[in-house]
Amino acid sequence: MTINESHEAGVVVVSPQGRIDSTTSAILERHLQGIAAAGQTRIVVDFSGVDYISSAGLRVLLALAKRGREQKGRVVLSAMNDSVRQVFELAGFVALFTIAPTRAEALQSAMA
Amino acid sequence: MPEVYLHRVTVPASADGVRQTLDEFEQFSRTRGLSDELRRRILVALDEVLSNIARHGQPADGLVRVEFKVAGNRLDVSVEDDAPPFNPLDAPSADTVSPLEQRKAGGVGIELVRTLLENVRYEHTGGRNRLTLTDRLTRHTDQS
Repeated sequence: MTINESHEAGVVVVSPQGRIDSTTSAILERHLQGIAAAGQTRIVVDFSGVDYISSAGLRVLLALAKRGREQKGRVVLSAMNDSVRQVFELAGFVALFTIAPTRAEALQSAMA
Repeated sequence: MPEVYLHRVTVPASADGVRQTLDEFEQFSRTRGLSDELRRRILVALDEVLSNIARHGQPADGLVRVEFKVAGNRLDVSVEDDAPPFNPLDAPSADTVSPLEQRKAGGVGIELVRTLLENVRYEHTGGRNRLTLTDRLTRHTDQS
């Protein structure tokens, strides 16, 4: 899995590419832990390059949301395809996150 | 009789085996022209089922046999092993409603397997566990 990262106006935008499942979730987890360790608390996870997510990936995002809450940070997810969105809905994860339709809107929301 | 396309894979019950099977299903999906939507639902479910076997299943021969079958409008994906009888569909429902602080991710995977596909069934026959995921290539019955 490739993960692109950019920093814009105090927000870290993380863009994983490909699938987030049991074969790749540890890579995303380490990446997000690194961001937390660096003291960054405003985070956008941009899903525009994500094909699908399974529960191994949801587990990583749940930990991210909990960390965000503890650190009074801001975590926003964006640009999910319909398959990713469906998994979030079935798992009851939509209520746990701020989800923006586009990366730009997510960035706005994370800056607020 | 509809044409039948069959692909069988035997992989170790391990993380490598999961990766190999998911890659093979990607390939099968492309060859058979499956929609992205269906391909992704199957991949999510397969990842859950296979990674679960890799972590907990302990088949005596260390192997998992997976079969992908397209017959007309129907897709069946079956996963078979010789571990002690275990029906993953018996797992209790996952927590999908608690607020963030109390939320646990446990059980979400099997919840997805139960809800993402049109039909999922478990059987234990001849000393083997078999879980079969079934769905339709298109939801339009006139193309079946």
